[in-house]
Amino acid sequence: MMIPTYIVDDVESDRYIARRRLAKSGHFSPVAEASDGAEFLRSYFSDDRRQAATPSLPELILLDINMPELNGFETIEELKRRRDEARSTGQIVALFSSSDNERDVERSQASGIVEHFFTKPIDDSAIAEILETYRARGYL
Amino acid sequence: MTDAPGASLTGQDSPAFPPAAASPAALPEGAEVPPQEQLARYRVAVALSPVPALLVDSAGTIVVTNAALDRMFHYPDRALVGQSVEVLVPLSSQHRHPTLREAFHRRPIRREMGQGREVYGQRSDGSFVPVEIGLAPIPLAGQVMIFTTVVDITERRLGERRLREALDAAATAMVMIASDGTIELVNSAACEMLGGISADIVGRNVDSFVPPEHRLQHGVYRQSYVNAPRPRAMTEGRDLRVVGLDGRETPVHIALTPIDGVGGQRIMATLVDLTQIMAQERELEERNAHLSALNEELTHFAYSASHDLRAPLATIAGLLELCLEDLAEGETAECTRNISEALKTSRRNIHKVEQVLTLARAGREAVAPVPVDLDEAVAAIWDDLTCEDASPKPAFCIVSEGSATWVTERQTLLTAIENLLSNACRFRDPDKDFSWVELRLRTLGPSLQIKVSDNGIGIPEADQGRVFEMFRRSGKSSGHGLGLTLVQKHVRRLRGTIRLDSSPAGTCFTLTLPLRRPS
Repeated sequence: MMIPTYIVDDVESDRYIARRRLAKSGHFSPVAEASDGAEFLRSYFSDDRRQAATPSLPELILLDINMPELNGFETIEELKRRRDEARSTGQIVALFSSSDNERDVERSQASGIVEHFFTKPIDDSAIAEILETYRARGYL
Repeated sequence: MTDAPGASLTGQDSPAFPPAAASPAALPEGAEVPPQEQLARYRVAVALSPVPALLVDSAGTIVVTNAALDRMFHYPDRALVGQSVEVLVPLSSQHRHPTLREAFHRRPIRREMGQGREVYGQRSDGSFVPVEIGLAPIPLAGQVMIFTTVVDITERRLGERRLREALDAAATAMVMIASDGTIELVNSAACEMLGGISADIVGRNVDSFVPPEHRLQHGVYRQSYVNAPRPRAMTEGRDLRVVGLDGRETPVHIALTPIDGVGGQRIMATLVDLTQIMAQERELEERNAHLSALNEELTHFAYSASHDLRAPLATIAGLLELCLEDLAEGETAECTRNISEALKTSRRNIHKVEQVLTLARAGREAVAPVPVDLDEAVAAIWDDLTCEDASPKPAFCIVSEGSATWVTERQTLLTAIENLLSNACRFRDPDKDFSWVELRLRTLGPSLQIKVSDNGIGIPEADQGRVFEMFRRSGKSSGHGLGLTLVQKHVRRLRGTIRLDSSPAGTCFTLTLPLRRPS
């Protein structure tokens, strides 16, 4: 079984790096990408997706913090407000930031839905940690 | 110099003294005493008086003087006897003195002379002596003579003047008020604050110096104070102001002290002018606000720098990690691609670091203001601007009310304008048939208003509050999100303000700058 994944980052190279790391591990598919929070929310809450069957495994959302328009935190707030509890059970939100600024770490903990906070670049160990969470919950 | 000493006196020291037809009841026990004897007794009484004194008859002739009076007016012993009392009156008042003297003579009552005025006597050498004169009518030898005492008050005057000088030397304004609110005394600091000379102010009610809107209450407060006086400050958290005779308002602190002295209760009000203190407080507040803004800017700078300067390095590191793995697996094509991406990222960010440094340096060095012809300078900036994708620039015009020359820090203002014009150029709306940018200069009171408007794509309402944040950039922009931060910093440096109005119809930045025209 594969983990449906979203990569939300405004920097093309950073999306590429994430894509390569996810591909290498071989547990993630399909992988969708968005270049900012607003674009992600549009596709996440699109009718097509709503009508699709509930994914077999909880989704993974990889979010960058610093983005134009809606940043990572603002995107999370919107996601919390609008997401369907039934469909998002077990969903994992991981933040990727270029900085491990304390304020950001605290804010991500306070959001209530962010389970991982990694500093960029994304590497294999970050992906392994995410997979560990899935396993701990009895998936995979 | 006003009145003169000596009022009407009666009698004469000469043997030609009129016969005693006076009422025998002149002195209670003198009924039996013959007039000549009465006069003789008065002569002794005058001579023995330690106070300078004289007797003057109804015609104004000096009848008796004592040695103290002769000495005071610098006359030889008894030299004044037989002379008109007017010789003791200063020249300036001599002509009206007989009239005053006669009037007194018709209504003779015991009183002091020249009440409320300064009275001077004239000595034989022509010099003046400030005096206080007591007049007492005495029926004597068939007529009413005036027993007159003359006290030299030179010392008292000096004392008063010294006190006055001390009051006037005080930096605080002092106002002495009677219990009914009448001003009795003001020092020179008070005169200056209340906009008049002492004579204009003394005698007025203190309420008339209270701002009109508080006058009524003030009367009540004043009465309560008189009923229970104790030293205290009047302010009690209120902003007090006094209004001078010239209408000028002064913010003040007022302290009240009751004086229970000669002549009943009075209140001494001490007023401290707060104009300067308040100006200093305002300046301090402004400086504090400026420092807070700087501090906030610094915090924000540190936060943004930690994100935005590290981000490209993380990207490069991520790409190079992949390169190593690709190399190991012989994926040279992928490896080459990643190396060129890493290069692109690093090149792009060399420029970003430069911009950040420019921003950090902005506003640190002092720059001398010079006259700048904005018409010419802005036109030059526009000519140098190029659109990224080599598409034609929007139409541009400069509208200026009057001369476009203003005195300012040339580079500071022009950099701000350049950034705004560059944005207007970059965010033009390709869906509109015709793109335009306009820069409008307007004099607004003591300020120059610069409006940079365009009919570009506009800034979404949600983003409008954050456009000036560091590294905040539009999703449609290829910039670093530093341009408007720099504009705002420059506008602040020029002590101006910047405002943003934007809609899908276009964007307008309004700069209001306290600039002046060249003199």
